[in-house]
Amino acid sequence: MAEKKPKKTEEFLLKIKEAQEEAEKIVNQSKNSVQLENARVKILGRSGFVNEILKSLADLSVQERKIVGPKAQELKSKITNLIEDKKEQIEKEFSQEKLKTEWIDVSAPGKKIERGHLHPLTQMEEKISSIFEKMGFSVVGGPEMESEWYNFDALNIPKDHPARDLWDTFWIKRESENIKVAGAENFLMRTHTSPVQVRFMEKHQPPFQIIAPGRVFRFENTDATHEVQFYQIEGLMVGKDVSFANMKAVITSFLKGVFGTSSKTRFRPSFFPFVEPGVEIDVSCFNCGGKGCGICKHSGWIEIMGAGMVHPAVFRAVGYDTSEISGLAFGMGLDRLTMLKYKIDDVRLLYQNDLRFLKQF
Amino acid sequence: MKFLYSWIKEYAPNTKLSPQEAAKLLTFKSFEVESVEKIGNKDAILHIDILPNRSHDALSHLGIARELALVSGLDVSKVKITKYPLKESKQKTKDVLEVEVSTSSCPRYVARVVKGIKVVPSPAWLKEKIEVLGLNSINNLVDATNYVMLALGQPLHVFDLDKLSDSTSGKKKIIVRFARKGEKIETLDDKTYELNDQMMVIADLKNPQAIAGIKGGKAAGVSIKTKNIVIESANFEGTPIRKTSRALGLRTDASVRFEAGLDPALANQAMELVVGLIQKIAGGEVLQGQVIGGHWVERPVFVSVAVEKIQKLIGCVISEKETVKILQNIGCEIKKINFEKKLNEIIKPLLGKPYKYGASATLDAPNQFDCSGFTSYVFRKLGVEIPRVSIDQRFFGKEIDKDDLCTGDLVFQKGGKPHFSEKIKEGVGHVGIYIGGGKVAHASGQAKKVVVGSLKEWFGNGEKSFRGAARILHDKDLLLVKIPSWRRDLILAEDLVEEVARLYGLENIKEIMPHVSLALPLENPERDWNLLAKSVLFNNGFSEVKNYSFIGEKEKNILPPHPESSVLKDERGQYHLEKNLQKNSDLCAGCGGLSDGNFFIELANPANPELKYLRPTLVFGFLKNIALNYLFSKRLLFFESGNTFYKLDEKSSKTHHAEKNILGGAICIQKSKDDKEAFYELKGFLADLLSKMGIDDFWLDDANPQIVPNLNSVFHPLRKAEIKIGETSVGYTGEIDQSLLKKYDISGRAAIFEMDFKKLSEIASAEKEYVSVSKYPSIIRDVSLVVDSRKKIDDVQSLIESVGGGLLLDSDLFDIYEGLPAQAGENLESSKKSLAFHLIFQSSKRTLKDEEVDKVMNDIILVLEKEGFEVRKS
Repeated sequence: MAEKKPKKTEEFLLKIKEAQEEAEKIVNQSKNSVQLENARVKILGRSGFVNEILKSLADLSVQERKIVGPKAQELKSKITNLIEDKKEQIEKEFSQEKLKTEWIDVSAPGKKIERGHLHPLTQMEEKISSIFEKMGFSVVGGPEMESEWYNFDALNIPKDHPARDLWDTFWIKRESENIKVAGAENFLMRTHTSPVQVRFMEKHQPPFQIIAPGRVFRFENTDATHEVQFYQIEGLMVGKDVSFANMKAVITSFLKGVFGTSSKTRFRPSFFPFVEPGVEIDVSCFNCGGKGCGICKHSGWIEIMGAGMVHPAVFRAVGYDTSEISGLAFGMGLDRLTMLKYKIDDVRLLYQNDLRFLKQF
Repeated sequence: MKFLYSWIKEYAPNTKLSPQEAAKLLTFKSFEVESVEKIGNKDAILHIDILPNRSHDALSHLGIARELALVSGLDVSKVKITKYPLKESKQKTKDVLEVEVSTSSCPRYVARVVKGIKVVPSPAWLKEKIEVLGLNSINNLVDATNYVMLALGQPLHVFDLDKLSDSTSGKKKIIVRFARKGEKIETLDDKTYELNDQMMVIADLKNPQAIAGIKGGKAAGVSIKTKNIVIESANFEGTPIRKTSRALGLRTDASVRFEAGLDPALANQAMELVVGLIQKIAGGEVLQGQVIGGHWVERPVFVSVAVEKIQKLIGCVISEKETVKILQNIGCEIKKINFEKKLNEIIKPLLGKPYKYGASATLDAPNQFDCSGFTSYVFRKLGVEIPRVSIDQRFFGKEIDKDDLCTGDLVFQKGGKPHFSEKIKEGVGHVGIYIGGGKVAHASGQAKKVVVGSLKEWFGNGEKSFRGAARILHDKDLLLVKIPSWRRDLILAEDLVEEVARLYGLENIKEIMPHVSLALPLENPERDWNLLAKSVLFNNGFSEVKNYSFIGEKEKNILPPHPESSVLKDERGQYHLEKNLQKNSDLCAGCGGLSDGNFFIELANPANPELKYLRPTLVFGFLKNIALNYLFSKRLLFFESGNTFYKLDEKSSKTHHAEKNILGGAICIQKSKDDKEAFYELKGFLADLLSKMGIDDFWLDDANPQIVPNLNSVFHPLRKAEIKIGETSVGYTGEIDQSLLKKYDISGRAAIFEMDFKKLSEIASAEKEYVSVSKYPSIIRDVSLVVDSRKKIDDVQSLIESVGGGLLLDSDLFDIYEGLPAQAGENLESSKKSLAFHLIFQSSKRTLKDEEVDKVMNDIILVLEKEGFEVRKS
């Protein structure tokens, strides 16, 4: 049964339909959030036309309201949702537009962080020390200003012996040349790190294995390969059955640690007063792998360090029983190793402290 | 030295090696051959780096020929030199020439006379050989002596016989003596040397005619007119030649060889070779026989070694047979001995030989002995060189308990004339050899001869008090090796080990990794902390520098011996500069109270004047680093870890100098609005560094900075302080004095710190302890106040914290503003500064109420105002 609707109801329903069409049109025409807000005010604002419809519901009878009310409410929420959707859409479009303007040049430099530099000699010293530490060696040190006894006599290098010519020495000026106090020692700048061996043995009993890195001095005219000061690392291992075969193994392992496991080592006879037998050690050229190049002077080998079995006179000087123990010792120049590694052609660069040099490490 | 390969092969004809092959073998078994230089088709020159311990025999073609034979696996007895036939006249040399050697430093002097020679240029073969090896060919006489020197390693000299002064007997006389002080000699190269009494000369009756073993004199030198000559082939001890050569600054081919200590037997061989050659190329009449001077008598040298010792030290089983073969090849004669048996064989014929106190173990033995001469003689025969004096023998061997005595051990008594030492204060004066069966063989002063006594007597009283025993030889079965006279480097068993190892082939010794017990490495906190500190600094932008350990006069003069000025504080807390107020007193304590105030350690032989003194500080290095890098960066940060040196007061200190491991840092800021920035920035880095070393309670003490050694003049007088941790001073920091910067052409501000790293590492601590974070919220209040510009912030903050009590968790200075004269309008006088702190209140037990905090804040403000500070309420 179709109930005849009163005329006013019909009018309202038509109004609602028109309002919805009008609202959808205005909202859809909005191009940005300002227009959309204007549209919202025009539709849902205090005197917006949808609001006007809702307000005018009060003029209707209860019966009419029952029919029209829900439709009007439906209109409001529809339009509200429509505006929300449109808002989201506009914002999305806007942010996409905005992103397009936010392009950055990723190739532009990052923020500059002030960084310092460790001296290449320090880096090399650490590299070498850590290899020996992994093999169980302890790191010890000693003074740079030494007595003649520790630097020479205790190491089997007596006064007026031609072997002393191997070391050109900086001597410390005596307080007074005339005073000949008994036991007054001559002092010098140590010419090698070997005195540390003697100082260590005076205070410790074998077995032990140590290395001693440090600065040493030679009285020399400076040029590209000579400096008045440079760095050495000294090694010493003393025990009951320490042998030449052990020395070969320790040094070969160490050099593999520095130059890689494929590097080869060879030993040649040499002479250092504090060892017997004494050897010089070459390592296969790390640059050309032994084929011959400028760095190894086309020999395939690089002379890298000296070594040997501790001379009994050295053990005697520190009061060790030479019938019971033996020892191996070795030494190398850090500056030379550093220069080889970084292809530095002038040793003086290491002590000039030019930042353009230091910054490269 | 250069060697001609064909010449080497002339002496070692059995080697079939090419020069390259020979070079390689020599390099790996003997000496490094630095290069092989081809000469024509077949020959070559080898440049060989002779090791210093072999200069006495291998600076010669004969020596290298022997090595070449050895490295080819041959026996050196096959190496022979070619001699020249010699015809002697009837006239005897001794009728013409006398030789007097008045010093023991010339063990052997061999002379011959040749008459009627002709001085002419050398024959082509000789000239070529001499010149190809880099010497100038002079004439046949000089070339002949040089030839023999290159051949055998023995330097020779020729005098013109007629130019030597005549003696009354009509003979010529050669005297080997030490020079008289002030004596002069003009040498062959027209230089004049003044001599002293430490220098040996070859003289005639009037004048020195040569500096022994170094250079000939002009007066009696050979010229073209020379007809009659004296040839000298002598042996001089190395040490006096070396000393003279050094003192005169005169190094010659001859001196280099003598310094090495030549074999005295070589003098004779060289003479016979050269005289034959001279006769061949210069003619003349060679007088009969040699005239010989010097005390030398040929004595064989023995070294004993156990095969096991060789094997153990090399770490490789090289058989006894192979060992013996290698040593025989070298020229050694080897006997296998039983130590005890051999000992008795040696001692038996010596029994009854007379005792003589102080008898020489080389010259008097085996005819007379004193006690230690007897023992050293016996052991020398057994192949061990032991010290000459009884007390030294006691400590040369291994100490043995008297209950463990074995045959061959040395036993000691107090004796009549004991020697004393730190090691044995009761003294040792008599020694014998225990020969087993309760018996001791010794040279007895009482019996006046070598006797066998009972061991029991050895443990008596008084002079017979027992003074211990020592073992020299530990193995019973030994190889007793007789060393060839030319191998003077073979003295110890270890020397033989080296010969065996190198000739066996170092490459044949298998590598064996040593077995050691696992253990923690020795602690070295100084190094560990140093590594950490370096890494902190370099991560904070500091670059590590390594400067010279030396400074020059210029730097030294910057540091006056006494403090020029010191900073004092008056009652009102005002600071003043005071000139020399405390001259020479406690401020100079740092330089050790040295009477002249000079704490610099000076080199006796500086390389140049800029490197004359040891650096007492790292500062000068930093200044140079800044000056060098100044143009490239407006902000420079450097650090250095290195040693510094300075003298200590001799009276108050056992050691006369200090050597310190110093960690230093430097900053230089060229343009900055705030001239204090350099100081404070460095202080910030210092705080960060110390904090990472576990040190949070450091402070700067400027009350009376003790800068050791006295570097006061380096610093801005009002911007320097000691770095203290608790009450311990670990170093100092300060801004560099502006006038000093100017000397290095640096503008801007620079600051440095230096810390004694050993001290620092003793204080540093890796220990951290967690403090629980409070669950309750904190309340932050600010307080700002205006104080006198010289009021220390530290003091203000301590005051706030002490009043704040337990609820005040932290106070943090967030703003500091100092009044500037130009900005006087900004409500702040130039003598004032304003400070603002965040005060953070928190409890670990509950949420704080505002009223509680208000109360504490009121207290703080009250106290601050009471101090006279203007508190600004916000």
